[in-house]
Amino acid sequence: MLNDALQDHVITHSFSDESGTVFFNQVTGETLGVSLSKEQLAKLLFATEIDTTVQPEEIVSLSRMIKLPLFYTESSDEF
Amino acid sequence: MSSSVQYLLLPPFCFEVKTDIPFVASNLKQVYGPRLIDSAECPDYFVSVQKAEGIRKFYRPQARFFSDQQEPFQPLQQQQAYAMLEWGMNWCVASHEMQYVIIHAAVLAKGNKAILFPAPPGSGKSTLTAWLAFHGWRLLSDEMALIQPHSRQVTPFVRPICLKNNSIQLAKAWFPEGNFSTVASDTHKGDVIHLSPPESSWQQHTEPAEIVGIVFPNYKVDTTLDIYQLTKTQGFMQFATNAFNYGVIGTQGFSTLCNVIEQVPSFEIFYNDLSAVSEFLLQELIDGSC
Repeated sequence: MLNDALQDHVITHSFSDESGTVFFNQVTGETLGVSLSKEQLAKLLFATEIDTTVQPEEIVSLSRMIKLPLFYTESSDEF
Repeated sequence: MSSSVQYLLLPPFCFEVKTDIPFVASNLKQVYGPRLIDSAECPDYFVSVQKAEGIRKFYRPQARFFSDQQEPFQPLQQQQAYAMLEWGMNWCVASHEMQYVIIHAAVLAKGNKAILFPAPPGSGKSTLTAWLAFHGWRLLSDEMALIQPHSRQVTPFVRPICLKNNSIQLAKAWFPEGNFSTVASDTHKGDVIHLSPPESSWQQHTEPAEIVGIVFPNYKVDTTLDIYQLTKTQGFMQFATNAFNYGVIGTQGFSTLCNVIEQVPSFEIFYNDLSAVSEFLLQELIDGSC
């Protein structure tokens, strides 16, 4: 599910202690770690409204790694 | 003066070292002892530290480092030539050995159980490394962990321990019999000296070890020992920050780091009591691992 939403050249790993997920862009080398489990990220992908529990900075960074719903990317311009 | 050419047998690599600076040659002998040999069949790297030519040599002599035809650094003061050679050899490995995932970390082991100490300069990593290496731990590396991709196996790359500033006097007091290089003063890291590890570490320089823990050390003058276990995500991010070639080798590096972090605990420690650190490492990571 999460894999389908990854940006081009991005791979990911969610850790077994559910502390979060890391992303790696194989072309640019950019690495990102967020404190969201695979399930939390899936919820984010299928949300119909903004999840206010997720930090705005995490949304901005995440949008470089996964294809977030449009309302997140539009609102991230304000951050 | 003519240049001397000798070879450093430092598994898994061999360096041909050429120099026309007498104190560089004597430091090599002092620090590397029998690892410095007169001939070798196939060196991996051809490095040299030479006196710089030009008018400067009369009032402020300089030295230049070359690896084959490349000159990766600006010339430095000649009294820093030996330190430059050590940094140059590190540069060779970090820039070319893409068959390993290379982490900027000290590696110490008990038997075949290794602990990685990734840390930026100024964290007290080398002081801790020197103390542990002379108190029963096996040094695999002071500067870089060579991890076999898709495994937890670390290949030793035993080299002298690079000590800076206040650590120099401490180490000389702790290990009066140690084999120290001369001091390179006023480098970009401050005053620098290299200390040869104990003979037992040199003798086991071909025996790999398996990572059982990762410790991010922070020297703190007013704290005996504070220990914080990191989540796997926190551990990964700190680990990746200290990787030399992670971005270059791509997927292989990413999955190796994920694999290591999944399998072993990682801690951040704040310390000033080295024996307390050793006790913690033994109890929590060496005895506690399978």
